[in-house]
Amino acid sequence: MMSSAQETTPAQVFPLMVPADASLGAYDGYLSLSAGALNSKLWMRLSSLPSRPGAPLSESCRLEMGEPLALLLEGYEGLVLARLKECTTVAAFFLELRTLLENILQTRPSCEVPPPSFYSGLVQELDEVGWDHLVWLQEDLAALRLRLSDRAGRDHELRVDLPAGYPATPPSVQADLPREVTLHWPPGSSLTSVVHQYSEAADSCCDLWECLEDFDRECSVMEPEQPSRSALFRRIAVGGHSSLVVTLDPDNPRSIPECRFMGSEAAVAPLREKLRSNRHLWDDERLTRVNLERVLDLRLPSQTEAALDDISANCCICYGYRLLAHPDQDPTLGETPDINCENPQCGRPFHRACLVEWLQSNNETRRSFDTLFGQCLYCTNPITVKALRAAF
Amino acid sequence: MLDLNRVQKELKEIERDKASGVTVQVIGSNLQRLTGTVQGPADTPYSGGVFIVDIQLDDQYPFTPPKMRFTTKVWHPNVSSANGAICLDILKDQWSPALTLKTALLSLQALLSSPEPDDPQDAVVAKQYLSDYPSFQRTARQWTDTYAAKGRADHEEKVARLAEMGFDRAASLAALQATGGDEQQALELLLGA
Repeated sequence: MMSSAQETTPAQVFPLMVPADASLGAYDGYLSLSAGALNSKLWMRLSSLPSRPGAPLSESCRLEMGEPLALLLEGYEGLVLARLKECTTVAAFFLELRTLLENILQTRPSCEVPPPSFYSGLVQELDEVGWDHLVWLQEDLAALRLRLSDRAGRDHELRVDLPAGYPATPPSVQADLPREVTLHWPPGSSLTSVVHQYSEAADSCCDLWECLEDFDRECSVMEPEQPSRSALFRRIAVGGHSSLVVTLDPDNPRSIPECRFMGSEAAVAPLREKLRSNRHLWDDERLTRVNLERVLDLRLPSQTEAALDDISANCCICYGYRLLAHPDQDPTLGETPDINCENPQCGRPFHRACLVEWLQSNNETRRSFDTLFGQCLYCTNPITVKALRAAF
Repeated sequence: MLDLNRVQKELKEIERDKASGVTVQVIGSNLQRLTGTVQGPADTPYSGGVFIVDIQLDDQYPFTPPKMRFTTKVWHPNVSSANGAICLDILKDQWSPALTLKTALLSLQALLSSPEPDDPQDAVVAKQYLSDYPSFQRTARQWTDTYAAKGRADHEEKVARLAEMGFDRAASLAALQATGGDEQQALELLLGA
């Protein structure tokens, strides 16, 4: 590489980069690439080049660039600096830079403009689907959102991205559904086929949603906070500071779901046992919640009941459910109160961080490596928690 | 940063349970400065009085205890007769986040019922309590009648004056209680908030 660079001059690589002073200490101008669309936009200036021959350019040089070039090189800054360090001549650096830029341009998604028939076809297809189904259309008509209703009257939204080769290439469709839909796209398909296939998929999930919405209505659902249509699980309060995570099977929503109990072992073990021994009571005709209440032999507390202190699953130190590490954190990622006092009469839940902060400030607490041994602040039962090393 | 969520939930709980005999009012918009009231317990020299407590929460609350001080003058072995400072273990090293503003105020009420002269805040009062109980009772009664019972009627007038200036009545009362009835300081508090 070095030898070929020595034979090449900077002007051979980028003819529009011209020496800015007589001593060849700086170059200024525009980069020209084989894909010409961006030429005359990529301004760059390379100055204070090292005067010592054979020294790496990075020794003293200054690199400035215009916004279009900076945008193009976004994420590759480290690579450019590495090249400056390796190269000892301007021409060698230019060669490297050209290769890099052409690679970037090749991997960038092409911005082809679709033919006029694309637009007329799209309008025709929308006529067919019905314009009242159209919720939103992107400015360049390359993406749109369609609304459709399932047989129970729930509204659903599809986001459809149309590739430039549409309708020969199938569109990519995103929908909030619990099951992946493989779009069937024989020649002659249109947006109507999309709506049709997704309506069918939504209809097949109606029974699942009926079971899940029943949980949302009748129980105190702790997670997900704003259940999406694709969420198959619910974390519900069962009382006694405990909760239950049920995950439904989309193909068989009324069968016994996957159940995970959260809470103190003393509170949770009897429930687990009941679930095991009362399986025969499960009736696939009924709603999942009704079945659960029957099998577990309890009534799941409602939203208002669960707000009362004694059965709340909130942290008993900060009184909250989600604990955010900082105010900007995504609220759905905050810590949940998953540490429970093991005393069956108490069983109160705490956030790990809250409990650690309290135990660390309490001089009754003993520490062994990263585990804190202290007392539950409500019942003085022993409680242990692993301190978060990173945070302290 | 102060845990606003917890303080708000505590205030809601106090609001809901009116029978407890304690109240807490917010002064201004941040929840760091509050003012509480405690009813004097029956069959004590404090009965019939309403005792006002200035409450300050620091950023570590509920990991640290709330700072509480009587702004109503009280004659009691565990309360300073000069500045209202309170000697109570749960407001110091026995605090835990399991306690709340409500339970702390109820503890103050319990303290009024059963003084602990062996661990005094005010040595003069404690000495009188131990050596001459009848005159302790007389003084305590007198202080209650003078400061804790009349305090409210006194505030009424000042609240009316502050309300005339355009401040909210509840906020004016809270500010007056926090400053021990000093109208000028209450005005500054209301303007600063």
